[in-house]
Amino acid sequence: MKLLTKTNQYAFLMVASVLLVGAVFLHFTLQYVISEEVSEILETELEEFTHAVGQDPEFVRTESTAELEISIVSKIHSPDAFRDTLIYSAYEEEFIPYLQLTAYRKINDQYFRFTFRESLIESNDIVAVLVGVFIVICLLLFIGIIMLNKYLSGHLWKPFYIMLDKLKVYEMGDQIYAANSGSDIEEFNTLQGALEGLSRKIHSDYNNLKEFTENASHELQTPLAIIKSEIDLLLQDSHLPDHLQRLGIIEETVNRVAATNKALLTLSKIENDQFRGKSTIDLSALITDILEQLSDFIGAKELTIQFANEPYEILKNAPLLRILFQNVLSNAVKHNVQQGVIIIRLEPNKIVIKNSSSEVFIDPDLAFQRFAKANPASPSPGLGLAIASKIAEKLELRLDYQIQEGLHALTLTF
Amino acid sequence: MKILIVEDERSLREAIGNFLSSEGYRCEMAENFEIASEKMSLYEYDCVLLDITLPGGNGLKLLDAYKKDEKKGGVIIISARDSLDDKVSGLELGADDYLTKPFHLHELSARISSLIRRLNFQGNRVIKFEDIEIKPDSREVSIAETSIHLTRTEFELLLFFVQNQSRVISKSAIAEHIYGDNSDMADSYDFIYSQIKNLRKKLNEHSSNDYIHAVYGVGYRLSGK
Repeated sequence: MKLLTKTNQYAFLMVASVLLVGAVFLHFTLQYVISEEVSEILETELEEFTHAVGQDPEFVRTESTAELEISIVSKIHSPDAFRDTLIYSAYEEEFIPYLQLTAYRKINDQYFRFTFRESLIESNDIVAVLVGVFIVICLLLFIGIIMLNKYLSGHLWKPFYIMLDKLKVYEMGDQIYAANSGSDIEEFNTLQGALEGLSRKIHSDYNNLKEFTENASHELQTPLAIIKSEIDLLLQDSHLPDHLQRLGIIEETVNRVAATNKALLTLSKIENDQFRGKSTIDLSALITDILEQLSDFIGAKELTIQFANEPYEILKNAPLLRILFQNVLSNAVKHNVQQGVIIIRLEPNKIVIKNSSSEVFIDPDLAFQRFAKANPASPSPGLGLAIASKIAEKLELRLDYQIQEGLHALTLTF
Repeated sequence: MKILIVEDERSLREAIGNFLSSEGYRCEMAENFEIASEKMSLYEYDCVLLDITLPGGNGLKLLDAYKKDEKKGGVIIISARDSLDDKVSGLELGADDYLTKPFHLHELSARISSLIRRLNFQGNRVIKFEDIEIKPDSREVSIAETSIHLTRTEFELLLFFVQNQSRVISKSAIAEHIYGDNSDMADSYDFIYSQIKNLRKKLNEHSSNDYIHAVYGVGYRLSGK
């Protein structure tokens, strides 16, 4: 939810509750004040009529009006009492609320009952109008708050949104994040400072990591190069078959270490986002090229390749894509059986590579893990599929591995 | 043929020097940026082997200066940094080749001889070994003046053998040379074996000598009479 919407929601809640409580309070306060006023009027009338009747007993009229009834009674029935009542008005054609005061008085040894009534209809109208005005004011206040918020988010919060936009496009390893929001608000300046500090830290950590990778590469590759060179030299000087054979074993072992080191470096380079940029690549040409490199292996296993070599262009990072297909295709050849088959299908948004295999199917979750192998005795470090899955992640492809019609199938979905 | 080896690691520098000297190259060494810079500006070399990470400076700077001096000799970068950026900027600066550590000395030697041939003979050179003649650029091979047909792999194998003649070449050095990144394929040695068998057969059909010898447990050696 947007900040503005949220603020407006709170403003609405606030105005609505003020409106509700205020309207009820206003209503009852007015009601009370008006009924006090009307009561006073009735009491004054009672005083006046009591006085008038005392002066002139003929004043008593027998006919009664809606406002006044005076009658002679035998005794006092009850003390003075106010009560609300409804009287039908023929003129208005409806019941009209009245406040009624009934009082008994003994004047000149005669008992009188006075009933005074005052219509409340006008005062009720006033209450309704006042509450209505109050509601309109509240609504205006709400609209005002919404407009103020809109203005504030457009102007006051502008630096914040500038920073947000910059942050959205900020990539790790990019140059240091710097958004000159041009704000004079302390909080935003603090936030900007904090972001800059953070990005500077990320930047330097990232560079350190990159350097570490490169250093690790250097530190391991050079000793490996020395060992390899020394073995090559020894091979020229040794003449004992026994020694030569042992040198052969040492060399193969060193090669395995070198291959593992190389694969790990490739992995960490991918993880460190050292492959950037995109270009349009003809995937068919790339696959054809890799198959060509693998042709000796394919020929020796007498594999049947089903691949319709049609132009298929995608926009991706070229080196990563090459490593990905290099790994996937060489795996498909490596683990294939004699006279096996490799089927490569390029579909819109989807690439499927199926191959017959000598290996048992391993759980896909396991297969993409580092150092996962179906055969523990295999000299391969088991990093090929881990690299492939890491690349797929970076290229925003989905990599699935399953069994289809008895073939191992890798599916790349764009 | 004079070669300058710019490499800070002493054992590697000496191993390379040792190997190349026995091939008849005259090798000079430079262990840091300063010495390398001095030698590269003062003397002429047929080939400079240049490490990028050097005490005292970046090897790419040396390359840049060397090319600005319009020196004729070739440059092969030997680096532990398998970084694409380095490779691209190295080749852009005018390096002739880029070899990532760890490498086989045979591979280095083959690259040097290819480079020197390319620079000095504009590719018209015929490489001779006994009665075998190889024209590397047109990929033609003849034995005792009879032209024979070799597959791409067989041709690469023969050239690699001739460039490393009389040396024991391990199976892995051959596999790396022929298959590059695919050399760790589980059965690459079997393929090497069958490819070499085919090559030998073709050579032996036309020559009275059996030049390629298996060295038990290790690899092969090409040697003359």
